[in-house]
Amino acid sequence: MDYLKQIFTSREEVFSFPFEEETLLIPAPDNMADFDQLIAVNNAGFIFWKLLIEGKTADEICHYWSEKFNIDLLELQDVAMELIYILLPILKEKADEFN
Amino acid sequence: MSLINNEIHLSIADIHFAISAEKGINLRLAQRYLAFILNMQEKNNLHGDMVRIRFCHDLPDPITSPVKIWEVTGDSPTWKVFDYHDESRIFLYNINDEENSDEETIIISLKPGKLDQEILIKAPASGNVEVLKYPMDIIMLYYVSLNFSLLIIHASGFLLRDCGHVCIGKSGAGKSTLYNLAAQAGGTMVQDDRLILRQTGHGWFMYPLPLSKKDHPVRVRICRMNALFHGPRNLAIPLTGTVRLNQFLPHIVHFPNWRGHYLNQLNLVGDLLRTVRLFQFFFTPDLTSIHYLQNGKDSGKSHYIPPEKPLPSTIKGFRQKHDPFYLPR
Repeated sequence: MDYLKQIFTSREEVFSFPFEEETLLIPAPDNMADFDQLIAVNNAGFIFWKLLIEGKTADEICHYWSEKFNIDLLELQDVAMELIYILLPILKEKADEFN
Repeated sequence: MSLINNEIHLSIADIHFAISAEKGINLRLAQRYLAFILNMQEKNNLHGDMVRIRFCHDLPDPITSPVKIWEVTGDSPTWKVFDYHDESRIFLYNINDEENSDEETIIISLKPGKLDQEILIKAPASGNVEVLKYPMDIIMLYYVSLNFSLLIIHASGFLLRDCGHVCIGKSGAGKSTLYNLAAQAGGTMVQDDRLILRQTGHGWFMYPLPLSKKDHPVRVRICRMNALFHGPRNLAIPLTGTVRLNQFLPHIVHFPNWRGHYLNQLNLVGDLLRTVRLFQFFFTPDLTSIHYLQNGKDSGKSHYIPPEKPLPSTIKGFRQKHDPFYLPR
């Protein structure tokens, strides 16, 4: 599975809470917050998460940021893959919706 | 169990619970609440936060259609929770009521911004009511906390040499062990399992949640929190950043609710963690741990690590590499 080209949605309702330069992503299935499954991301990670669940692929985000901030694309893709693995518990692959 | 008439006043976490019943309904109160009963003079001297609980023969019909936000089945009792948005009201309904007339139906009326709330409970047909019956006491207190700056937490708490300690930890981490050691060392004990934490104009305070008849009303200012772990020696490491939320939040007692309330609760936790320091406390199960808490020393050698040394966050590498990407939200 090439996660860089995968389109994701949020697995369930997730709400965000900014705290001291980072943001907590908290899944809340069935209106019940799951405080055992917290994910902390920095500002860039939070924007990455938002773009991802809006339907952008990680590859698109990396290309855009690479051009805009003049950062090596391969390095950025490595970091994006790390972040996707961290976010996987609250991500759903778009194709899953039709299964 | 003690038989009460048709009016009773309790003080829990400095909130005045005024409980009354219509004629023909007899209220019974579990022994764990007896120490929290207010006498006439105490009741008249109270001018603070108040929750009225009224047991009725019938409940008023809802004005708006409720939105179901939670349903628990398979347990006894089983509950549905509805949100009446227009009326700022939560409806806790025991679905057993449909089959069993000896169960209760409860409405909590929540008026945003008003520290004066009313809980209406339809009494069972028998007219005999156990007031604040478990688990409704905790569920009600949780929803009441919507209007009070209040958290219910699975933790132990005690006062040692003018320093109030809240201890959190997974099952078996040593909450009760440290609590008992603090008692041996002459500490003032609050509770060894559930605490109510309240934010006031004078800081954060802890109170016991009445769980057994040995509980008694006490208010202790919180000056330190400890996330407990058994260790080969006593060692306290101050936590910083979101690591504190990761350690603290799983111990909050909470029930299904809407996003707005969770964010309020998170803001409260954020304020608590900015006000009171949270330590990761590795301890040995003997009195040296209490000595360490009192003096920051273990066998004469200090293992205290100053707060300038933060623990790594979940994705520290990502932050360090790419903070220049910062885009304002």
